[in-house]
Amino acid sequence: MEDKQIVDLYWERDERAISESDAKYGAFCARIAMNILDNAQDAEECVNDTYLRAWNAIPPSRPTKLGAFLGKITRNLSLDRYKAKKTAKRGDSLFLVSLDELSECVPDGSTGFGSGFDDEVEAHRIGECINRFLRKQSGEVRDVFICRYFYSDSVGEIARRFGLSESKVKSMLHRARGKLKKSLESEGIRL
Amino acid sequence: MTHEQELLARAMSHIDDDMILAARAPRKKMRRLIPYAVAACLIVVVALVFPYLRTVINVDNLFAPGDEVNREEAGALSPEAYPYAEQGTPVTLGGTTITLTATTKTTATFTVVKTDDTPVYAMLYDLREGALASTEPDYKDKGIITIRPYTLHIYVNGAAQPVYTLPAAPGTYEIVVDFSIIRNGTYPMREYIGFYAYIGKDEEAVTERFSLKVIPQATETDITTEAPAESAE
Repeated sequence: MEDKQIVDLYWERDERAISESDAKYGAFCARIAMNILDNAQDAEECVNDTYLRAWNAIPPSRPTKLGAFLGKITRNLSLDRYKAKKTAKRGDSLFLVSLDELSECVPDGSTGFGSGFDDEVEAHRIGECINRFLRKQSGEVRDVFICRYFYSDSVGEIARRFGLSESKVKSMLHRARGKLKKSLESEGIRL
Repeated sequence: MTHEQELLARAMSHIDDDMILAARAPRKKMRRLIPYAVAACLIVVVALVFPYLRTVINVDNLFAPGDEVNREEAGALSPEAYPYAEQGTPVTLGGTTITLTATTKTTATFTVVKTDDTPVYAMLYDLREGALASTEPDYKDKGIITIRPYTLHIYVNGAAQPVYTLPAAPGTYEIVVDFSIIRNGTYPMREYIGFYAYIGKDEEAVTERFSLKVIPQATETDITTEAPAESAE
């Protein structure tokens, strides 16, 4: 079923919207959740919560790219769950490793998180900067970056997906992070 | 997860939808195609260059790169030396007398008698329309193709001679010009091929179709030619 038809079902408050969403994007969302939570049960619950969140958001929202819409919801729910349930055991999860890498982009001399701004507003502002940065990158670099830091894919998975060596992927990511850091600095981003 | 990490992680959720989906779009396996693409390109290049290489090998740069090659005409119009009526007519230019004494389908034999050390050069013409090939290196800069070694074989008194070094010292020489390489070449030629033997840069003795003939130029008065009928032996 096309995205538009599924969104129409949400708007019509037809519960088939959930089953159709799951049929088309269930695996996609589960993968995102699994990459962050590293726990199948938690990931499944997140995906179910995603549909509930989507049900509540549509209407009034009318997403044109339902996959990205659901993926973002899943990701945010997974982050919430990860934050709530983080334990010492999860300290070496793939997701945290990718977060450690991404935090290299924080400009030096940071003033600390949440300095007077609402977190979500600030995240949105940084997200816009990242958007602009990614638009300037080559397609391959952009896709690799997103796979790593949005989908939290492992370097090995990305290497296989793009037909690159792992060292090449690491090198690309390293350079991209360096550029992103400069880009954030140039836009006055201070975390 | 620190606050900074969380903020960055949530910021990543604000990436535009199109980029998010594009990153997960099915990959075209271009990299696997690259070796095949390279191989295909090499085959095409070899196929395109091979005829040119053959020409270069056969006639050794008689023509400039990019010259058209017409294989159909090549064999039919390759030069042959025929015994024309004017064979044996001597041409005297300054201190040099040249006589075509014998021909075969692939060779022409000249007797050259030199009484001075004026350089003698050879020139092939009508290899194709407007093309000349000279043993004189200076001609290369005048739009005329300089013959290179192995383009044709020249034997002086039975000894192979570099094609661009015809004898200059006084003496009597039997010069055999072997056209067999050109005959087997793969390039278009006009109806016939001529062979010049000339002395200096302004005087030319011409052996058109291997019969002797003079094309007077600026120094016409310096050229003495015996008419075929009068000089027939």
